Amino acid sequence: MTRHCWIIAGATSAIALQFAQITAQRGDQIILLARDQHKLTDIQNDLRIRYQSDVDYLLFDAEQFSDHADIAKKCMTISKHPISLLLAFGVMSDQPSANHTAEEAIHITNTNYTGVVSLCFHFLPYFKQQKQGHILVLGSVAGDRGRPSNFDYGAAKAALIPFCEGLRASLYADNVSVTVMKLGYIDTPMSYGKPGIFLAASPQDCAAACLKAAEKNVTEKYFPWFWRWIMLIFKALPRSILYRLNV
Amino acid sequence: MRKHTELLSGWGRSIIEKTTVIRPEFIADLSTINCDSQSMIARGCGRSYGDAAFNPNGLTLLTTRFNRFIAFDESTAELTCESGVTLREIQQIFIPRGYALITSPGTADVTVGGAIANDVHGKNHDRVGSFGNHIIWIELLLSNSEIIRCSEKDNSILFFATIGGLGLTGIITRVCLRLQKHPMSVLVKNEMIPDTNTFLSRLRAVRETATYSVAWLDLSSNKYFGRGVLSTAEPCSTHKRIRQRARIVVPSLSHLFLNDSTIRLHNQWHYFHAAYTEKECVESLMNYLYPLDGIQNWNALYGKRGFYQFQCVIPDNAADDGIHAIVKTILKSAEKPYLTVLKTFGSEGRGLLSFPLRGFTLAMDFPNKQNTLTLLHQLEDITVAHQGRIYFAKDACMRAKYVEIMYPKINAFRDVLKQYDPAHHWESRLSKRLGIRS
Repeated sequence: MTRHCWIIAGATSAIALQFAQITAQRGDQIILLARDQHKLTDIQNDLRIRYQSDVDYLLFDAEQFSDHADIAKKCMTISKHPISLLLAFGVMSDQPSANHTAEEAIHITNTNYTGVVSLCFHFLPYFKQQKQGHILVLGSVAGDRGRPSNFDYGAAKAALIPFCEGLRASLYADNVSVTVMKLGYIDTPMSYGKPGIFLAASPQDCAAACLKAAEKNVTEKYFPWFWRWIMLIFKALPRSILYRLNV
Repeated sequence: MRKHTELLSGWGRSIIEKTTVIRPEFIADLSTINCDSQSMIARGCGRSYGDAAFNPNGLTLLTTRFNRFIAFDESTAELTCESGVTLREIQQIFIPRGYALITSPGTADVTVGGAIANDVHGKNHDRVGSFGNHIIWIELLLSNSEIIRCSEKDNSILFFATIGGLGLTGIITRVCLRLQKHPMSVLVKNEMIPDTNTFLSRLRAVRETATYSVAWLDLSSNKYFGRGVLSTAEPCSTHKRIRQRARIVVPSLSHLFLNDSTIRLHNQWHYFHAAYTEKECVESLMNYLYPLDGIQNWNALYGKRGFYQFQCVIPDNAADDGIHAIVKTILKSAEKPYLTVLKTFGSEGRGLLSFPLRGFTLAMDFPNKQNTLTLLHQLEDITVAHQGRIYFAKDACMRAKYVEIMYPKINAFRDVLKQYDPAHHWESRLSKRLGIRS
């Protein structure tokens, strides 16, 4: 297999951490993007010791759109192999969406959606140039239906679907795949300790499934698998019932 | 940080209680924990058998996500890592590079932090001592939220209290430990032993020469009572390819197949298997050190009621009498241990509450039945009468009155805690049950 350079944005998230482990283990080059320098150094050292892999990091904030062009440029100078991109950053609030202030809602939208858009556009020319690679975006089942508990988060995740579909179509000729994973409950800090979490999958399994989906050029995939059927029913629920359900 | 409520138990599953758990992802997140002045204990893989690693009326902090390596120096073989790294991760990464842990317990699914807090020992205790002997420094989160580095030289009182300290000095965050150069495999020799007397004399002989030594005893049937297999091993570099055993998970109803009769059959098979196979064979280090890890959840075989492990050490001068007294008590009792292991210890541990003493250690797994506790209390009395002690990491039923007799350095330990944690911030169910802090 040819080597890749995986650029992992949101590298301190639980799924991204495992994704980095899997890709580093098979010998890919890794560039980590996240906000916290201490955590990034910790992850870098860990990957270097475990797999003697080639790991770099850059400080990155999904909401600092003005820096993204620079980050993309730096990534391209560091990378020694064709790049692939994992967008794993995201933020969710514990409060029901209606209790959010406008700033909070904008922060959620910017991080989960606008940040992805910004980063994708900055990397777009490079993908067109190299004519290969994968763009892997972590979506959510929350994007399938608006719910009182997190409709701002859900809307941002939902917006990723048509965005990625269009992106995939426009990169089709360039042999670049774009994959959106619709994730159900994963055992990450985002879900840990929340009431009503059931059958949470491990971040390891999730990361492996994401990588597999990207490499098989899958457009959209639910993980864990049974969420496809749960959401099929959930999407078909008439509003009159949905509004009365406390979900 | 969000709290999660779940049922927690030790590996023996004889004590199960509802516990509030938090699981930080990074050591840096520890500063954001708001514990509302509740007491707290760290928990790694949950492999201590009793109640050493959870705290039902306070908080239990999972360290499993602190699993990052920090540095490795090839010239000195010094490894720095976070406390939630498991011994399996260390072995899997470093054995292929020619390094291995100097000592390691019978399972690799324990965290480095847990291994220090219980000062665990391995089959080579006579040669190298226990896990705490190979620790260079420890970084510890104290009750005042300060992270402090302690070693033999700096903050040494805290260092020796933390080794074997059951997590009661604070949360171990980072550790520097020494590895050794070790080939990937060992040459194993098996020897059939007919009775306990022979075991004691043979173990006494091989402890001087063998690198690894361990004895498996069959105490499950009265007919073949006390016979078993003595296995010794030496590091060996062979180019033979050794297949790693696949790990299996037993399905949930398997406990229906574990009872006195099936275990007797199994033990007979095990004895004859050793008798009729090669007396000398090359085995991978991982397979030799961790025979039970082949089944990931073997504790589930004991069913809902779980099991007790009784492990005591009896010093050399009283060992023959003590071991015989224990074995005789079991022979008379209707409760029989399903698995029995006898080993020798080389020297005392460095920690104030370290378990090892120069002598013999006997570990037995008893399914949790009606009269098991009565027998275990009898065995406890015998242990105390022979100047022995019981291993906190395995204990779920010891009586508090014996703690001070078994662990004479406990008052020094209490003094350290008084100095560093006057508000009793660190507590586990075990520490409360046995009154370790008071």
